[in-house]
Amino acid sequence: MNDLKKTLKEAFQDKDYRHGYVDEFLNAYIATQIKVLREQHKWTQKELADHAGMLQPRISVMENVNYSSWSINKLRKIAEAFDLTLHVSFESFSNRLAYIENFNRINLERCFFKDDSYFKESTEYAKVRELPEAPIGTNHSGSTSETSGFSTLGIGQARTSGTSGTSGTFISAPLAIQPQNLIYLADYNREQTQKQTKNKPNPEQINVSRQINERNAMIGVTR
Amino acid sequence: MKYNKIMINTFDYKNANGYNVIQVWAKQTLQIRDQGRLDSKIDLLERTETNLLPKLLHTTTKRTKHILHLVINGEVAIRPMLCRGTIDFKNEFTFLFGATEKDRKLVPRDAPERADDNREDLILHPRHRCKHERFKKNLEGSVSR
Repeated sequence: MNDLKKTLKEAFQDKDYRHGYVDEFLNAYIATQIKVLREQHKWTQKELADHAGMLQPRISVMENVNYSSWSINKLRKIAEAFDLTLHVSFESFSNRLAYIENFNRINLERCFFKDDSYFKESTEYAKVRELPEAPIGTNHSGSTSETSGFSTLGIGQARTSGTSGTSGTFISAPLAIQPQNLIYLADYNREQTQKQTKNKPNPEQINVSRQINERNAMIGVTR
Repeated sequence: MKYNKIMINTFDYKNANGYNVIQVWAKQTLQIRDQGRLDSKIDLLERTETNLLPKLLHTTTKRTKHILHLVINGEVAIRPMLCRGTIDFKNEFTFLFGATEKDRKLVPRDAPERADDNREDLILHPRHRCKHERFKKNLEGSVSR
């Protein structure tokens, strides 16, 4: 345990002290994070004010570590301007200690939506879903070009149940090789298999109808 | 980019009689919640690059341009006076005098000047200071709500 954490663990035994300490820290935390995020965007206070529909002096006030009259609505506007989401939550003091201990520029920076790899991957999956349904044995890779930054992930020769005697499907999709993508592709593969199984007649039903036809022919019944 | 932890050293001015003026002022003036507020700001000052924290330190008057003060707002507006150095101007701050603010006026009114006097004394007598201690430890018996 580092010195500050150890000292605060002892000092926080007093209720008035810990509330005073954390109140002051929280004000500094919010103000500093607004400044850090603005600098991460390379915006001036005026530019942030324009994006948030506020005036520049208001941003200046909110970036002051001594400001304490926070309004959730104003913070929501700021969050939207940064294309981030506002997180307001009641926390235990032990959790707050971690914020105090790790207070620095890097820990205040956030990944903006446009850079969020999770949503980029999702868009690529949506592209895969929009592809026309391929006949069994064909390969989509011819119709999709490789996207820069993403590798073409092929699920090679995956044999599907209920289609014995036919060749397997081969799906090639421009997705980053990450565990969550493997789940997306597994879902996609399962959907394709279900479609194929649904369209194909059940072999048992074929046998039964053939037997009925043969018996009818023997006894001279015609339809 | 690797983050380098900043560590600023803080000191308290001790007068010719050996009294730690900041600790005495805090004991007489601050409630426990205010100590928490003040310790929080000082921890930020010690551990964070100052250009990261917007408006943490404020200047006082033109005549006392070396004297800065922290702003801690609460039921009592606390304004401890401090300066850079006085030995290492890059990595040190020294608390010189305790003040509060009422109706936008410092109490006592001449707090920046008195802080500057202490600073000049400290430059002449570098031993008139000690390592800053957290207020909580030294405020046994102080006013509690």
